[in-house]
Amino acid sequence: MDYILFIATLVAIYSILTITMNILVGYIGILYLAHPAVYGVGAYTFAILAKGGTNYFLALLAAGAVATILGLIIAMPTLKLKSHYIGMSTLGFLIICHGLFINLKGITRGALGIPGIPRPTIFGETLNTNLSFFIFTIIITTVIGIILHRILHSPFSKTMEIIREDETAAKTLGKNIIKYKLQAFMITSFFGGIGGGLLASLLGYISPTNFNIDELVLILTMVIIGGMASFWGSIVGATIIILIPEALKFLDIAPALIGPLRYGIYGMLIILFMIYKPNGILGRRTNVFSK
Amino acid sequence: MTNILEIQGISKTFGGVHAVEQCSFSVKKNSITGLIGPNGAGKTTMFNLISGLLKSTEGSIHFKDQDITNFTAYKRARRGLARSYQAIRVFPEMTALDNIVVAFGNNKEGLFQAFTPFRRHQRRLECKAMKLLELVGLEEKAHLKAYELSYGQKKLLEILRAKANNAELILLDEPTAGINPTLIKKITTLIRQFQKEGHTILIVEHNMPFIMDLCETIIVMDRGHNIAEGKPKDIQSNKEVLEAYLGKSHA
Amino acid sequence: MEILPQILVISIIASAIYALIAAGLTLTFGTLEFINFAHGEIAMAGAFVFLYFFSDFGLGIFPALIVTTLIIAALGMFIERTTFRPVRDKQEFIPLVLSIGISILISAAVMLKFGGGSHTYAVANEMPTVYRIWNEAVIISQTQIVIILSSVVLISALFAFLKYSKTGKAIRAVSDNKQVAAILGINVNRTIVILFTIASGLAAIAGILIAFDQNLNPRMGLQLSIKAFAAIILGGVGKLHGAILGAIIIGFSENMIVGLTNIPSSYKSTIVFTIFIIVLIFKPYGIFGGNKEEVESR
Repeated sequence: MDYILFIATLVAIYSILTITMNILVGYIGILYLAHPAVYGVGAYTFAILAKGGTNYFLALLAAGAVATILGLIIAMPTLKLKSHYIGMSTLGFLIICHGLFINLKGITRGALGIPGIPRPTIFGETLNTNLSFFIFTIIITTVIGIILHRILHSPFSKTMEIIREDETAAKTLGKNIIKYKLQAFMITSFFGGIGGGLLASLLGYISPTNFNIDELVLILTMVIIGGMASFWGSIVGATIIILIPEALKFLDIAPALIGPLRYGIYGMLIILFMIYKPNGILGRRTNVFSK
Repeated sequence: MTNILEIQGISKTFGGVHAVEQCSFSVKKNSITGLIGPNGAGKTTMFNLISGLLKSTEGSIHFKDQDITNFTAYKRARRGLARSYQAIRVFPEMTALDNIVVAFGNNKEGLFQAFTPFRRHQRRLECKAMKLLELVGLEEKAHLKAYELSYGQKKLLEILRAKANNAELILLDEPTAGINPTLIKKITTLIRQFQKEGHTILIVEHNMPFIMDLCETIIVMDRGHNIAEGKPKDIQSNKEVLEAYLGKSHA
Repeated sequence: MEILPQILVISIIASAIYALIAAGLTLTFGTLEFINFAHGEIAMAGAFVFLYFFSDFGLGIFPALIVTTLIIAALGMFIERTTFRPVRDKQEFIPLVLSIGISILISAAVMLKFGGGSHTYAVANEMPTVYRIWNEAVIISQTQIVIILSSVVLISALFAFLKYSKTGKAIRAVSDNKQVAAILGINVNRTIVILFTIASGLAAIAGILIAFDQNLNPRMGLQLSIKAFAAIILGGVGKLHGAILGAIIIGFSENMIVGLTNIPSSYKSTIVFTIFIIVLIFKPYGIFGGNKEEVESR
């Protein structure tokens, strides 16, 4: 039961991470592969501040703020580049950040990682149990979810989508493409950073391995399975992908094989979805997929 | 201002190709003006230069007496310059109604406006959009996705979208391409209606009867340069224009 | 500066390997119009298949080489037929993400069969043949000489093939404009299959060469893919000389910067990609890619 609560908390946090990634990848249509670096920076910022005694909530906000700064830096080259170049440049940022996480030992403790990341203390009670932290996280992620839901069902979101569908037509309709892209990056990074902070607090320990290319594969699969440009799809995708390894545990497989098997399943899922159902489970037909 | 658009000495080179070469002309306010010329004359490039999708290599563009040569495309659109595309660019997955609603400028589409009560405003915009659809009899298709419309209906939608935000200058790129004669008549009436409402319309076309009938002034381009400008009947008997279309030996 | 010659040689070796992988990648990019993330995995798979036939099965070097190249070429063909062809005409997103999926699948398959750890081809107790050249300033092993020679030979052969042979010209035509090539009577599907096969074969050879020189582990495919992309994008995609130039830039910047300064080698990837992004900012289409105007007029 306790473990189920842990998994549920993980699902809640990854739902936010997936929705935020979906904003750039699905709604605005940018091949954005740097998200783990962005929420990683959020996680590290939170971990360092919270361990240093900063108020938990302030640390979360700071995580969002620092992640936003990184997000805007990553955004800059993408404004000028075309699609696969954007994919490579964002991937490049992911690799650079991962390298920095490993090498800036003075700040991040390098490959050793940061242990002992605290849980919040509310009214004198430290939320160390899975149940209490689950409730806490659900409240925060629901609030963030409501904000994102509102944004993603507004005229702002419609305009993001027409920029994705046909940037040229959007321009001559008077839409300021750069402003929309930058704002999308800001939302994605800010809430992604907070998600990273929550993740750090849940796991209690983070290291550069949490934010490498494997993590990118994970979050990308969540977005694709759930559906591009779909709010609820992102939550569905996050849930499914997190539950897969749990399901595997029920089958009698040698522990050494579970890792590659998981990986293989993700690969198979991506392949099947891309060929047969590129819009994911809940995604709508979008122009990202037709020439 | 008599001329809403002034093109002065505009050139555009791609690699070695001079698509537009020292081209100058003006468009009178509230007129219906035609832009014609043989294939490869540079008409579409000119439209792209005017709407801001391309930057000219030299020359200047004045719109409403303001130098917009260095304005980005979206800024020109916000100043009142709209266009339709020859290859239809309506958004296929949006409804016909929504396609027009996104064209409105004060759409409450800013990020922070997502937290204001935008739905009431949206409904008002939808009414406005409906009225536009009624102009061409498309109101019953309002809630169909644009990809479900016929080619002709999509073309009408494309034109309506250019008018939606009350642009002072509307550029129409081959509005009658692939259209049957009945629909062409509808488009002609529509454009005249726009003129009555105060718009200026600049049309690129290959359909001679359509454009000679509709336009007060015709500008002719050939090989990147404007070679003639005047009333339809003068253009029709202009030696250089005939040469451009038919080749020297036939003139 | 005594170590400079050694670092130069190491840079050349790294560039030689990247060049083999980048060459195939840039050609497939030119025809398929998306970046094939699975390419590096194919190199890695080649290395492992060779390992199986050479070490486990006991074949001699050349037989194992031939069998491996055939298998990997067939793998490349299979992948193209079953997964890439159905999505060929969709916008870049789908094939690109699809190739990520394929790369993951191949990596997982290799890990399942061979385990996740490191492997080598080394025959027990046999010391690698090593030469000292350049007034004793440089140590280079026989394997490394083979790497450089193979790379030069194979890439020159590729250049010649593309320029002079009928199929090579067909490949260039299809790269340039598929529809026109089809009208000219070129069998586009067959040309693409041939191209894929050549690219996969080159990648497999690169993988095998790397494995002889260093240890190999199933995770290295992605590393290779990413560096190969950086190479082809730096040089300008679709152009063979661009890929070579890109490979040289990556190979040299990786090793020279780390070798000649105090920067620790764990910063290698960070440096390469920082350079990559900086170049992209100034030349969004790559060094040989031209600028916006030229791209517009194509």
